[in-house]
Amino acid sequence: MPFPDWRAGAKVTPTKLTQMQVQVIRSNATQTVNNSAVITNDSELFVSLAANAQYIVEVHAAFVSNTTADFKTDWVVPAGTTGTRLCVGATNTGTSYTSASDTRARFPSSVFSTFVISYSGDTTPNFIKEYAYVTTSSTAGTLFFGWAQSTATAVNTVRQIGSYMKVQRFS
Amino acid sequence: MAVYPAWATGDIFSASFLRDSAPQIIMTTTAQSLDALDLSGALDKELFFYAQAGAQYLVETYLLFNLVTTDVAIFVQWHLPTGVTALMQNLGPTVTQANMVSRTDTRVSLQAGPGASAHALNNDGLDTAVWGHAIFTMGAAPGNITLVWKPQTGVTGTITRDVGSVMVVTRFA
Repeated sequence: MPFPDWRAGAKVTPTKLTQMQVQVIRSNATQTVNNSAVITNDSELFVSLAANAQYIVEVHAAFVSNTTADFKTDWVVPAGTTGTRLCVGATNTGTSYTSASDTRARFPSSVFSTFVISYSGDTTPNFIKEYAYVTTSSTAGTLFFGWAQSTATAVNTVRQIGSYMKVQRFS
Repeated sequence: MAVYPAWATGDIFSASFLRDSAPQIIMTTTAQSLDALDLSGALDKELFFYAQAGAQYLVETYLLFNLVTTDVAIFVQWHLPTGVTALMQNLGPTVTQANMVSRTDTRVSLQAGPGASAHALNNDGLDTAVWGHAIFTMGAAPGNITLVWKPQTGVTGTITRDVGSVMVVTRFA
């Protein structure tokens, strides 16, 4: 379903043209969490959502951590927003993780703000892909990608520059 | 908002603005092969695009590789103009031979790193899928951004990037 729903005679406005476009939000700086397992909103990977709208949102983020701290993710959404995250990343079973280039993977899903998803971390960057179909209620607001260490550890867990969020409105 | 072009009231609908507002989709129509002993790597003949100075692009790749010798590594990276910064992420079969049984039974690689550094991925002698994502921030020099691939050292045979591999290019700044 395309959005906006263009009809003959409709006025072409900058707002409507912008709504047609794919938004890409790229992180320009690293973000660090140290010794905390409390989900923190990403300082750059967030997007404003309109009320009563539908979107496809993808997050592709790379992390450096270590095999004790690992990392976990969640999405924070406006009240009433529904959707399910479909996730791909390194297994959270430590014994099945060897390195970013050789690991078992996990392919879980999660309803928003219900379950955090944990992944194995490493001292070299590995990445996660998360994808969701997002339906907002009558409440507009901001969708944040959130993350933390899986186990609070006194090491730096760093979300890497170039991680990004891709957003397409379709209703 | 990270979209390109950024529309404003009074803008003229120029052909270039309209072209830039749509993602480019490039699908390979011809297989490209390389003698696996040629370790210099191949600049892909179809999977490239011209990038403007000062722009930012998201590039999504859906690649099919075939190497006659089974269970060997394929290296993937990008050839970039001067001054480009990038983060590349690739999802495909593990590079560790012992953990690659076949394309239907394997551990995986989830590497992330700069676009000009190679990521190793495996193959089982049939068309094996590799999914990639890269973000490019251009410097002052425009130029072609081109997919590069090559085999692991010591491998013999022919490495092929097959027909139906796809690259989607979205300019967002």
